[in-house]
Amino acid sequence: MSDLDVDELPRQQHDSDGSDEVGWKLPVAAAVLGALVTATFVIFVVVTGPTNDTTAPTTPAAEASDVPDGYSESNNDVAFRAELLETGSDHTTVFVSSVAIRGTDPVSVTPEEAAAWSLRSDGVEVLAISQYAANAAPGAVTVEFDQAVDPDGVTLTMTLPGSTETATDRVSISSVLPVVLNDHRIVAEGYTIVIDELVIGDGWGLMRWHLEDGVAAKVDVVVRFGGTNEPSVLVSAYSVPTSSVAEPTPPAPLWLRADSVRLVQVGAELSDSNSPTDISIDFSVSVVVEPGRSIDVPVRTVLEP
Amino acid sequence: MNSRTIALTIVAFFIGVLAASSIGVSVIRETSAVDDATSSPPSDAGSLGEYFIDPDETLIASTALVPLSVETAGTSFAIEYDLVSLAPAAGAPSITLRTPVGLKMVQQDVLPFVFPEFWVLRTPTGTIEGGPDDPGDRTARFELPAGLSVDDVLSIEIVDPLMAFPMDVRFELSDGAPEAEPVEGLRLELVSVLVDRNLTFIRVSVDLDDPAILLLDIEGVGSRWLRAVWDPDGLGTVDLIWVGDDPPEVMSFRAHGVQWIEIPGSYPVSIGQLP
Repeated sequence: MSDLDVDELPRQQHDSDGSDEVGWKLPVAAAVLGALVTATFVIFVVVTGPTNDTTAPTTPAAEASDVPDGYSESNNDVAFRAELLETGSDHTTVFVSSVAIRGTDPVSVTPEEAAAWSLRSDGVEVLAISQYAANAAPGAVTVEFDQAVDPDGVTLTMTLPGSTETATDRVSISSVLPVVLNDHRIVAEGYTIVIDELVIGDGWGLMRWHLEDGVAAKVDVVVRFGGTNEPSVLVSAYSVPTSSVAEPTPPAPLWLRADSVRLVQVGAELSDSNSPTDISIDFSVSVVVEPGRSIDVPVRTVLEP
Repeated sequence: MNSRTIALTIVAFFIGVLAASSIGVSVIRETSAVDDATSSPPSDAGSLGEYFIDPDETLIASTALVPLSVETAGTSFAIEYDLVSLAPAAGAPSITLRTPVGLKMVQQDVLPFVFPEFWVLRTPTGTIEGGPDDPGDRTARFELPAGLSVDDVLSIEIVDPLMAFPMDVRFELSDGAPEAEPVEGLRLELVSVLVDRNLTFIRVSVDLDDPAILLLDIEGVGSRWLRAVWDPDGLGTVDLIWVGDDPPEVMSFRAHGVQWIEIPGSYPVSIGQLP
């Protein structure tokens, strides 16, 4: 038997190119890389949120509103609410406010006007006898009823004008002042406005009218004194812009079924040297031909006697 | 690189991920707890929910009351606020604001449509009342009892605010009944009757309670009345002028304008987010 040369032993017992050895650098680098990736994710979560779903819920953030709670829309721009309804022994007064809605700028929104108001309670409906506004309280209206109402379950309803028509009429009369015109009738779209009395004086006047049938109307008048040396007219007091802090202008009337209008002089005063030879009276009437949408207006507070 | 090294590399990567994750989860949980603490709701009752101008607004009729700031000085506590009108006002003219100290023309947007006169603070020991001094004031002031601070305020409410609404009332004056009070806070008295040729000047004095009626016009009811003329010095008198023969013994007049109406009810105020 001969001695074997170690160098001749089969090579498979040895890795002569080093492939059987474990490189530690790469695994260490991989572990570090894994930790870095995870750390990056954690930082992202902390910085950006949201937090874990198991946290306690927070109060919902306030949201910009199109229409305030408790208001009813009349159109795309305006909503109404009655702040107070006061009912007495024989009358009821309702104070109504309105707001510009849907983010519109209030100074660019024209106040909405109702043609009629009604109260319903216990199956009884009462129509308003008057409504009025004021230049110093835009969007607010005070509505008057000549009856008391049962405040329990009362419903306030406003009716919009819908379609309206305007008609004019002219009357020529003598120039002897004072002049009184009684029971003059003007028809507009089948509706009759009665001028109960028109009194014309030297620098003053008064007109009373009522709507014989229909929902509501507006009536205006201009009295022209012809033949004067200097122009002189009588107009409704509310149509004259305020010229002096001592003589403010009343508000224009709203849609009504009856009203009285004071007339004031514009232009030169009448006198012996400036006297008229004739007088012409120009009426302008507007009537609600078809009532518009009816809207129930919420009432916030009711006061009983 | 042999297969063992590759396998070890993959395992080492996930070991690194697991190790970092165990720390990262703790960090996330801790930061979540901090977020919960800072997003808790304000302690006072405010007008949360829908809003028009500001999330902390209090809507009173057509006016949004917006708290601006809170100031404390010793036992004094004040809330400054703004009043923003939401009332449609296109075409509204400048008006004359007649006050007992004179007449002045004001722009529409500076009028106080709401006067939140009475405020109530609720604390664990009771209530404290306060408010602004007049309609033009925009600061509600309170005096806190000793031992209480702003932090003790549980809720804030405005109670029974005054709101501006149109007014149109009739009244009569005569020698036999020279005084009238057609609405609360408006007193009129026949002062004198002077005849000058074909004109009769009826002078009426006007007395107003605080807060004064915002706008007031008086005119005669009937055909022979000229426009009323107010004393431009604001001394509280108005001349109503009758044309022609003697005026009626009982003279009818109309007072119209804008009056303060008290609206019963309470309106919560939120100051939770103010500095």
